[in-house]
Amino acid sequence: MEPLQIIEIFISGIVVGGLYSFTAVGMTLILGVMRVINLAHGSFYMVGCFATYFILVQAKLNPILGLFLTILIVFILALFVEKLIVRNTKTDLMRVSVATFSLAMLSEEAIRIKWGKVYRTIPTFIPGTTSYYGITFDNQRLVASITAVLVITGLVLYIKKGRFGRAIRMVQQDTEMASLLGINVDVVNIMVFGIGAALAGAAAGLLAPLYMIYPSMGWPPLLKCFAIVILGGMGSVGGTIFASFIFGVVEVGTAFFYGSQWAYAAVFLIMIIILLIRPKGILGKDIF
Amino acid sequence: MNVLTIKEKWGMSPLILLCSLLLLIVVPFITRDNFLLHVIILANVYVVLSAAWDICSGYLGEVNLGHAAFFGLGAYTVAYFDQWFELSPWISTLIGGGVACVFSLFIGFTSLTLKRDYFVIVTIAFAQILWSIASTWSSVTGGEEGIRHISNFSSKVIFNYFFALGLMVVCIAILYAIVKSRLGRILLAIHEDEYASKAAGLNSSFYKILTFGISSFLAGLIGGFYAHYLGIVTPESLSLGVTFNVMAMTFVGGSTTIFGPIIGAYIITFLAQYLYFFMDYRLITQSLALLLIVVFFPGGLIRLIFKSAYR
Repeated sequence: MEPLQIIEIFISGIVVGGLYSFTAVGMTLILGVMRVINLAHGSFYMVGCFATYFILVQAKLNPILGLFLTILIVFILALFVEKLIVRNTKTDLMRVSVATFSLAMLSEEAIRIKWGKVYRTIPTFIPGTTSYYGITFDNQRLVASITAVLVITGLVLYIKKGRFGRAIRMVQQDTEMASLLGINVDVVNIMVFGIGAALAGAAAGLLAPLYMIYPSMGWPPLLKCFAIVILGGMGSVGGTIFASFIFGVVEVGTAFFYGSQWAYAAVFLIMIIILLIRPKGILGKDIF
Repeated sequence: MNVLTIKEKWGMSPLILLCSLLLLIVVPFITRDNFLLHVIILANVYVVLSAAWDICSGYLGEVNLGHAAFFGLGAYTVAYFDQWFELSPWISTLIGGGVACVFSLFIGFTSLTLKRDYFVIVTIAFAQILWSIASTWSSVTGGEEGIRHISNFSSKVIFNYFFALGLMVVCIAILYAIVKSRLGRILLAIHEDEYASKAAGLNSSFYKILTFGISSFLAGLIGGFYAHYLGIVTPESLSLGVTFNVMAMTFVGGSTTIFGPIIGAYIITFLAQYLYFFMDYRLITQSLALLLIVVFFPGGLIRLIFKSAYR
């Protein structure tokens, strides 16, 4: 166990964590502002990956354009989902859980029926690797991770300073008061849902070339996002970002020592440990 | 002061109950169709699963998305105990329920004291991870193939049929007794407003963990029967598919009732088994239907038929 290996695991984990942070921040936004558990979040990611596949492989468009198109598609889809489904069922936990769950199954089945269970891959559009001091990264992962961090920083700044961002924060803190003050809470909700899903779509656009694409690929990211969000504190973007880095390191470390199957079990272990010792998460607010 | 009719008090006309029970008892004697008997057994299994899910997710309000995990735990436990200890199937089924209950207590302690969202997340994660372990840890769990050659109660279909029927009646009776008793009212109170019930002096965490434990025990119990009946157990029993079926059955029939899941379980099981030529499209139809029902018509069939008995 040379120190170089440990550093490599650590850095690799940070990079992977950066990738996860995209989807996780999307989920934490929706959870924090709308207080809705969106079990279809993984399927937004999956739909984004398929959209990226068709845009890049079939239509052979420029990857950057493909990324924007994917984000747009997922965003519009999410607006419809919010309007039709989430709005009506938000009040009852059982209804919203079952509705988003069946939406996730519906999208998985629809894609499976239309395009088959075949595992597809997208060729990476930023080929090659970089090496520093004996540690190699592939460029695709590195660029994706850095982009994620930049975009999220931009988003956080907008939420803290921008006008609409202030509205989002107001709705998160006290929905009734916000509507009394004249903020159209419905519009804020639908936009936040769209942004959260669009973040998942953006993650899909960047990450699709790195992993295999198949209809059931939405569930692992969903669970990992849940674990990250619990670790970081529901509703807190900063906590989620920090948690996703920790999570990435733990996942890479577990995969290195015990094999990648147990990395999935490590998700659950982290979740349970956090719930036992500090359910609020790192930077979370209320839990009761 | 209102006087409730028996139909309103019990939630279901006792005549209908009696007739359906008699019908179920008589069926194996008037038909030679083993497939029909098999479908009814399967429906009874899902009745217990759905009613147990409903009492935790519908009455109590703690949505348990990992229900399949306890079903599968019961099934796998039975497989192991039969292999290692050569126990009688009756005892190992009970132990299957017990193991599922123990796991649920563990999950319950960690997440039932927190906000309801946490419970949803933990249960679905638990189920997915168990499923993943069962599928990949081939040396212990047999992987995708599962475990085969589990002894059964009897090779005769009729014995299994009446055992399933009896088990179903017993489990429904237990759940019905819970719902109609003080515990049932406590659960509804905790569902409505947990703080108010705590202020009234109820130890809400205790009742939540208790309900979840009962729900999981019944799921594990029927999982044990299922393993014995089929003779094999696969990771499929732990998968989201089972939980999804349970959700669909509960909502089609009517959630937060005991008889709703029964109706839903029979309808969906019969549809799924007899429309087997439709098998490829079953999941997409079911998910679309469930989505529409949950959004537009969450009451379920039982509230349509027995309007006066349910809100």
